[in-house]
Order: sequence, then C-alpha cells, then structure tokens
Amino acid sequence: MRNDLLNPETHDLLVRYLLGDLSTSERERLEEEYFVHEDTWEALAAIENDLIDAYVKGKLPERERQQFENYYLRSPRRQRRLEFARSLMDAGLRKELATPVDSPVSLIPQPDEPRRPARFSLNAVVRWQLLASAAILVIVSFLFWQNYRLRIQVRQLQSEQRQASSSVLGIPGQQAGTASPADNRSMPVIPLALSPGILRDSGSSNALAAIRRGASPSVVLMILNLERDPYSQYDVILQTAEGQIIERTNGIRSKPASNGGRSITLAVPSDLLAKGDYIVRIVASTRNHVAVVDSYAFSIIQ
Amino acid sequence: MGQKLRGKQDDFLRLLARLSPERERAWQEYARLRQKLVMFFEPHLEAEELAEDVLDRIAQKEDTYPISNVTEFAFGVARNLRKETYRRDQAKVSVADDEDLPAGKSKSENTLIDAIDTEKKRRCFSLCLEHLNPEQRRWIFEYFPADDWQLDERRHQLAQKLNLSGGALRTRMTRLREKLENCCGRCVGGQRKNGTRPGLDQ
Repeated sequence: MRNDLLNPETHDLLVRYLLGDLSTSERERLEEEYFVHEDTWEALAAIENDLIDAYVKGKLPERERQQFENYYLRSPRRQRRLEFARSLMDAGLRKELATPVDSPVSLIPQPDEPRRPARFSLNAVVRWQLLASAAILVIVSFLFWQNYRLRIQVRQLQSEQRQASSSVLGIPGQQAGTASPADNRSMPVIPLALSPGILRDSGSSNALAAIRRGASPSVVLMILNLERDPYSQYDVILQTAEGQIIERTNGIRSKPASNGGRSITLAVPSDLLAKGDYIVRIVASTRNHVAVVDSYAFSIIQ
Repeated sequence: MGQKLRGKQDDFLRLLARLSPERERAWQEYARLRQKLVMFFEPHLEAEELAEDVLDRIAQKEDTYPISNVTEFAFGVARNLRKETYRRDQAKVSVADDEDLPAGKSKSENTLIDAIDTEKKRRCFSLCLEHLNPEQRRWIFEYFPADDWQLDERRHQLAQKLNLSGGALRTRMTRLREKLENCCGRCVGGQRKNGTRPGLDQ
C-alpha cells in the first residue's frame, strides 16, 4: 500500500472515507485494510492531516468542504484537530513566537561548524529517529496509562458521589469533610451540590454556595445539577470570579442525579482553591463555536 | 472498591500481554489500536468512549479465551459494537445543536469563553513548540507553512536536505505533528493553576 500512496485512486478512496462518501461495503473493506496493514493506516493518517490543512487554507472544493463540515467535523476530537491545525498554520502566531522560521532548514553544516562526512550526517539522522521514537514511546505510554488510571478514578468518584448524595449533599454551606468511605487511602471528600443560575439570578437563594475547607488536603467533589442536558458531553471550566482559569476538564458526560435530573461531577483538590469567589461554567463545543450551557458560583470562605 | 481496581488493572495488563510480550512494544500497539478504533467509530460523538469500550471488552477476556490476533479481534468487536450503537442511536432523539438551545444565552459569555479558549490554546501551542528542538521547529514550520507558496518544491527540498524520500518525510512529519498535537491537547485540557508546564516528554 505504501507505493500506492501516490496512486490517485487510493488517495481518492481514503479522502472519500474520511468525508463519509463511501458505500458501506467500500468502507468496511477499507476499515479492515487499515486495521491489518500499517502502511494503509499511515497513509490514512497523513491524508487526514492534508485534508484538515486544505480546509484551514480554504483549498477544498465546495463539495468536499461541505462534506468536511457536515460529516468529518461532527466528532469532538476532529474539531480539536482542526483547532490545532489552525494554530499550526497561524502566521500571526508564528511571528509572536519569534522563531527564525524563515531561515533555511539546516541539516547542512553552518559556516562556523566543522564540515562532517556524509556518514556522520546519516548517523545523526538515525540518532534523531531513535531519540524521537523513544520520546514518542514515553509520551504515548504515559498518556495511555494516565487515561486508563483517570477512567478508573472517575468511576471511583461516581461511586463516592452516590454515597455522598444520600447524606450531606444538597446543603450548601455545610462543611462535610469526611473521608472517602470507599477507600481509606483517598483524601477526605467535601461534597458540594450546586444549582445553576448565578449569572442569571444572583439574588436567588441557591445561586451561591459557600464551603469551608479543612486544614488538611482534601477533594472538593462538586455535583453540578443540569437544568437541561442537550449534549452528549461537556467541558467544565472552573475559574475565579476575576476570570483566572483554575481547572478545565473536557469531554465529561452527564449522569443521573439523585433528584431525578442529570448532573456532572467535578473533583478538585482543595489546595487549588484559595479563599475567594469562584465560577464554574459548563460549556459544550459544537461545530461552530463553544456554547455556555450553565454557570454556577460558590465561595471558599476559609 | 480496591478489589475492583485491582481487577481492572489485571485486565489491562492481560490486554497488554496479549498485544506483545515486550512491555514497551505492547504500549505502542495499544496506542495504535486505540487510534484505529477511534477512527473506526468517528464521526460518532462518542467515538473515543466506544473505542475504550472495545478495549475494555477485550481486556476482560480471560487468559483461557483464545485470541490469535488482537487487532483483528478488536476489529470484529468494534464492528459489532457499531451495529449495537446504531440501533441504540436510532431510538434516541437527535442531539441538539446550540441553535436549538433557548435563546437568550448571553453572547458575551460565549465571547468570553471563546477568548479564554483562544488565548489558552495560543499559550499551549507556544509552550509545546518550546519543547521541540530548534531543528524540529524549523521542520514543522517549513513542512506546514502558513502560506502555500511553492509548497511542493519546499517540501521536496526539505526531503533532500534530510536525505529522505517524500514518503518518509511525510511519515516523519505526521509523527512530529502528532507529538505536538498531543502535547497541545494535554496542555489545553489539563493545565493547572500550579504552573506545571506541559511537556512532550512527560
């Protein structure tokens, strides 16, 4: 398949796959192919990048542009990839970075460097490849171990949330620093149930909740009750009242709440929360922009 | 709970062992398989969760369950799960886009969030670039230029300078881009107040 990279038919097939333009049988054949053959997979990855770049630069033909927007960009991960490509090719950003990008690529020895035989250059390339491979391996390993570990932690927190809800949740202002009942090794958990509305109705009684932190490190477990649940996943932004972002967690899905509605749980180490006022915003990314779904407020009073 | 956690870890280690007896190689295989699964389920909104689901299902198979080729097996599981998901989705009301949300959500809030996001992304992009060495930065900027002026010719020259074929250069730049992209994603999604800097080599 590698030699087929330059084959226009294969290229066209991969592009059409990414744009959702293949028949079911063509699609399934190609999927089986890239699962089994690494060359096909690498070609697909490269063509996906080309497709994103062409879109960013406005170079896709009209029909493909529409397919790209209507089909390809439905996935949140792909929307993030598009954002990244925009940064990557943002001329203004490059100027800001003040990197001498206009200087020629220099694997050719510079005038003040001793000229080395070609064999050494090749060794340098091989070394670079080895180092890059090792670095990628470390990053990928770390990412996926983290991912796996976080998923387990989320499930653990959901279990703790259910237990906490039955006792002290729903009483804003009450300190409830109790050790996690599920695991003695966990830090104490301060549950905090929040209802939306602070920005729309700052006078309402449940618009502002206040908690006291204990002296020892703990986890503030926020249960963010949703008024509506129109999206499949959300991003949660915790910021100070002045706008400084403390924590951002992406791709959270809502869960059934104890009140029969839906809620999102956010766990924040208490040492990130100094005394002061905070706002939590739940946002959802759509194809066109980011929409604020709900906002909450609380204060750390001690 | 502790037992459940240990069970999960055991499942995961069993999956890694199935992928390769050599741990590092197993991690690479796992990462690659996950990428393929996400691509397989996309553009479904829950593609990443569905990919995790497939990996969980395979991980839970006992040692005695014969799997001669994990990737091919994963493809079969994924195909079945996609059918299940289509059936499930057909029974659901379609997800609302923000046009369907009640009017009146303040535009200023959206603008604020957009501005925060944009600024953060720029900062993260800059930080992650710093983690590349100067040559890698030049390669990135040269291969993915802001303009398209003589793009093919410039890429051809870059390949020559690196003593690589066009295909090999493309593969290398795809990986370098992925590395940078992963760093930015991690930074934007998880940067904390305590000033920890995102890195390519964490």
